[in-house]
Amino acid sequence: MSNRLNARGELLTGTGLRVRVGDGLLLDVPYIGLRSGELFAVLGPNGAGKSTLMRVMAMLQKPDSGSVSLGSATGAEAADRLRRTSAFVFQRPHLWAGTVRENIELGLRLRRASPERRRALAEEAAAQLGVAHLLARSSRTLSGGEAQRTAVARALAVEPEILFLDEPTANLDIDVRGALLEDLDRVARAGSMTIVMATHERSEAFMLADQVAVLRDGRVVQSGPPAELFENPIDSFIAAVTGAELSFLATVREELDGVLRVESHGFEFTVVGRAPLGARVRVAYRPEDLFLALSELRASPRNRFRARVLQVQDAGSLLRVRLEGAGTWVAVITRGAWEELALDIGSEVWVHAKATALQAFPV
Amino acid sequence: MRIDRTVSMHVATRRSRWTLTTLLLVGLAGCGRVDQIRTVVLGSTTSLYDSGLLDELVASFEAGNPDLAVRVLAVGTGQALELGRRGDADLLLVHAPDAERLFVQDGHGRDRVTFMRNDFVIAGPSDDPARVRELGGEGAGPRAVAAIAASGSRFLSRGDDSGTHMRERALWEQAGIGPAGDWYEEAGQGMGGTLVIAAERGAYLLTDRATLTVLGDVARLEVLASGGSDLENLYSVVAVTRGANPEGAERLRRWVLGEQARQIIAGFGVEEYGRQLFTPLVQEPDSQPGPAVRGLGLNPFAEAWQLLMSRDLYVLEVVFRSLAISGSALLLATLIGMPLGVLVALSKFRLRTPVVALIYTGLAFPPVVVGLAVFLLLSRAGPLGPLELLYSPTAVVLAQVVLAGPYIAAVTLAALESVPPDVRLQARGLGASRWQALALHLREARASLVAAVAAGFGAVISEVGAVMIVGGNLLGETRVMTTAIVLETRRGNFGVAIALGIVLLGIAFVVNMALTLLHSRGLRRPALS
Repeated sequence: MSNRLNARGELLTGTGLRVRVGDGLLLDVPYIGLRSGELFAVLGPNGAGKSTLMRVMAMLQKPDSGSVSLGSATGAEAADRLRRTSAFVFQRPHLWAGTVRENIELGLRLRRASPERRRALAEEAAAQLGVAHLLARSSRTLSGGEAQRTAVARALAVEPEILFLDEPTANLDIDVRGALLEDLDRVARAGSMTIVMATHERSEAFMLADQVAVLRDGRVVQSGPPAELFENPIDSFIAAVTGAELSFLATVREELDGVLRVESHGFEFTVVGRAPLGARVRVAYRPEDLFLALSELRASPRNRFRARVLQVQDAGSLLRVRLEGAGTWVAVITRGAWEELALDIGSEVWVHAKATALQAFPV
Repeated sequence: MRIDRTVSMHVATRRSRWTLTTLLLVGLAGCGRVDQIRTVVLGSTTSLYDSGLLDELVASFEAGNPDLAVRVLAVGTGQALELGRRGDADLLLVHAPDAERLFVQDGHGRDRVTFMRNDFVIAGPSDDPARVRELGGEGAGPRAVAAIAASGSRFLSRGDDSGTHMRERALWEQAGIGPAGDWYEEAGQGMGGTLVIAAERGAYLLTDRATLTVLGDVARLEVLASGGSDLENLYSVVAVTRGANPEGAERLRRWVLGEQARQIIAGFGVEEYGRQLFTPLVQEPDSQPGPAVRGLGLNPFAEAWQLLMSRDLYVLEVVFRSLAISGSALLLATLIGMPLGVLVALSKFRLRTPVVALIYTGLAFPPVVVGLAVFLLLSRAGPLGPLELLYSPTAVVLAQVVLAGPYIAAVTLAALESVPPDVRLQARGLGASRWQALALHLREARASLVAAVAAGFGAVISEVGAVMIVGGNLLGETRVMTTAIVLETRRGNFGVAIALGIVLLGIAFVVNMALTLLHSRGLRRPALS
């Protein structure tokens, strides 16, 4: 069964959504619309209302006011159809007692699929998420990463038209997180599935999403394609969340073993990301991932360049240092480091950045 | 590690404080006369105790003998004699002359003196369906029981091998009747308990006049037939050969036969009930120490084993009755308690907190209080009296449901709340309907739910207080394993008691074994198939 789109060509829309808690509003979203086949990321800090928005959109939670419609359907009809054509992966997914296979087949069982179909779809989903070898294992013996993958496979097995992922990587180690993101990326690109993903990780949102909505205190502050948020952040919050001020545009020159060589302002950088040769990309970094030295170090960071201290700002116990050299940069260092290196406005330093600290997103 | 040491030091400090207190107490005791007190164990009959006479005698004796403390074991005469045989009592006050003579002949007792009498009476409901009223004179007892048997009116026997029960059996024998049938019931309780049951059920019974007089208000039974030597009730004092405190026993025995005790006996009840209840007698000891003490008979464990192996009918009857009653109670308690627990666990309402607290309070219901409440509800004077359910299996089931229902509700509630709170939401997120989501929630808690039911079963099948109060321990109706164990122990039938105990333990083991298996399999086996 396929859900039809509304007049605007949107699959799932929320209108006037409000969720109250005490006297305040946990969620206040006048309008949100998802197009079919896109990956929609809800980005925001912890406590911004991402999970609430996800649950309201998935019709698992009734808003205090407002409504969600699926295509042209509303109310109970929409809820019924969404129940059958979507799947929701919670931040802490619950695996029922039993084997991994039984868990992955659960959604199909609830939909009364035939045993053959259950078997085939479960095995396909397990293979997609790399848990095929765990099918016979008890769900209680899985590691965090295995459990999370099982949960995603369980959702995929029902072949949902809409897949909701609430912080799918929040409880995972960094290496497991990368692997799961790659799987999600592949899944998103492979089918016509519409994916809604909540995350507080900027890089996840910009790496995977077609549309990003930035949520703050229950309100959508800005939404649009990632590039738009980079180019035109409407305020400093967006700029900070997207990392717009801590990014620059570059062109892909070379691709080697999953890392890219990009060029910007006549300088070349080694960055991580995925983009075709010659493409324009935006490279973003965290200021705390840069480190400064008085001379060039023979060390693992692939990016080393000279820069001059332009400005220094107090940021609590840390200092925010603006640098110029191969573009403008911001680094955050401790006061102790500042004093030990005897830095001052105008000092010359070497900036070092690991390739993984610089992330390229297609523009 | 540091924490551990602190804890153990704390414990050590407390222990030494206790030790100090104990030493102080012992020291104080040594200074005074407190350590001189010795205990005399007096085995006596329930009829004597229930009338209140024994309390007066003991209080008066202790006042004049501060170095002796009398511990009264108020049991049936049968068990009192058994206590004497085993040397667990020092002196006996009993009223079954034939059995006492045998006891002395066998060398278990000596210096038996009949020191007091009153009389037995046939009491019954005032409408007197068997027309035994006005039977008097010599032979009144046998004629009365014959009339009761002939009319098929309900007769309630003590059924506990007490002196009263022995006398009742003698009456049937004299009347040439072997009492059996629906109309003849056995209470397996003391005099007071049997009186209460007889009054509730409108039954005839044999009782001593003193207990009937004292409990008359409660019992609401009338004296219908009395008089004649068959109904004479003679109380004797017997010294126990193997008693632990022969010197104290002898002093108590002499005091009981002395002038002070005679006055108390003669005056007991005169003021309160307007009549003398007991008459003191003077008699010489009627027998000298008998031959060497005989053995105690078959080892009770061996006897228990024999009973089990031979599938003894009495044991089987009691076991199956227990299983039937507790099984029905468990089924009902589950049908009520489990949905209640589910409902409270899953719903939010304003009074939820007090309701939850109430359910957990149900866990702590003292069974005897539940028994009392159900008793008052079902007794003739109670709101459900007209249903005549008291002392029926239904009454026992009802009491057990009241006990196990909150238990099952509480454990169900706890089991469901131990599952992550958003389990149903997650199930919905996978496409489950509301009912499917509920089923998946319950499924996740099912090991605990089964444990709840099993624990409920263990609680009701091993319960004795409430069953005794509302069931009355009637043979063939409400006599279950626990109450039968109480009775058979009182009768001195340790073999039967042990056999029933073994069965009870066996059932507990089987239930727990099944639980353990289920629990470990619940982890390994598919929960979703």
